Amino acid sequence: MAATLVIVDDEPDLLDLLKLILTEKTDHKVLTTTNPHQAIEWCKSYQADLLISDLRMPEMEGIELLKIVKQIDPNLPLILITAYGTIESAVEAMRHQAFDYITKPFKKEQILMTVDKALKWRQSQLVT
Amino acid sequence: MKIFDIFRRKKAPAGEDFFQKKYQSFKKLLDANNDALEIMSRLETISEGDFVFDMQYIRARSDAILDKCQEIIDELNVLGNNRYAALIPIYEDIKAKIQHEVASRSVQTREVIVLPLSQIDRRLLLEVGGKNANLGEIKNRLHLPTPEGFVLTAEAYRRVLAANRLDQRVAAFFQEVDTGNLEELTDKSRVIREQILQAEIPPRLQEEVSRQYQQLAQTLGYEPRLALRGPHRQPRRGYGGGGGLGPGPHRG
Repeated sequence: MAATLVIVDDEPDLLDLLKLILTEKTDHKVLTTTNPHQAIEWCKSYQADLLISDLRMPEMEGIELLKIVKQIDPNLPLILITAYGTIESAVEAMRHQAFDYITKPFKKEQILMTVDKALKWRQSQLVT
Repeated sequence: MKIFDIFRRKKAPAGEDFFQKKYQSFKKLLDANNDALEIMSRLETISEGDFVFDMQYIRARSDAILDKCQEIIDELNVLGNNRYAALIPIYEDIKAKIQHEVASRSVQTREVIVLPLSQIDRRLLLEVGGKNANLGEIKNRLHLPTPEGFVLTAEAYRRVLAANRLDQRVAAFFQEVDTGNLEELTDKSRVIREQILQAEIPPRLQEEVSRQYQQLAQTLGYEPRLALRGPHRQPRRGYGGGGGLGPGPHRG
């Protein structure tokens, strides 16, 4: 089933790459932005099924974004992507109910698999 | 007894301590070399296509390799009593080139809205567009005769959009438009193009263009008429650089 995905990262090249991978391999609608506030707006207006965010962004930390979108939609899964793959930031992200956590560099299959799992989780949450 | 002490003191530099220091240096050198090779091998693996990474990762790994190379040179100099000191300036030169190459151009140029052609090369491609970047290469690297001129960067475009609150509309357009539906694409493109054409040019940009024009006139010795080279779009990246202005074929 086609879902709506919002991706936010301060690196436009990474956004392009993720969009390319996800639109090539899935039927999902993929919205990308470098602006976390725009991502929040899109999560609301498009009733997004999944948010993928960088952990460290100049305008807003990924954890802060996570807290805001969880208030809008508690069933919205969020996958955090970061180059700072420390145990501490992973634990912190999961403590704030991030769905999953991926450390750069990662394999294309890894993001596709994690997106698939997150969307299945969202479906199960909406059913119950 | 004193005689033996003298012998011991004289032997010390070439003795156990000396050997241990050299051994430690040699060990550090091998470790740094192995670490550098491991990072390079990892970079090679991830560049082969199956991995997703960004420039932040490349910058961090480049810095790590440079640190390891510096350690190698330091230890070589310890082992060889500074016989390899000539490697230090060569290393610094390579380090500066690598750091310049991997530095974030978007950060460097984020605040620049107009750039003279004399300051442009291919590294600014994303901010000035392919035509201008190539023109800059011809002018500043090959030193072939080229007209004077200046470029309005992608940042200038972003500021025009932001000042007229068009940035989010354009972003939404790119996200929403169905590129497979030519009729919809044409209609929506027309609407967004009209909105951009009606946009107000921010005073700061007007002032900067005027300033660059005055400088150009000063360089040429007359007030030139200008020819405009338009920007272009890059696939998947949206707006791909700035427009260039230079003297036209006729003197004004």
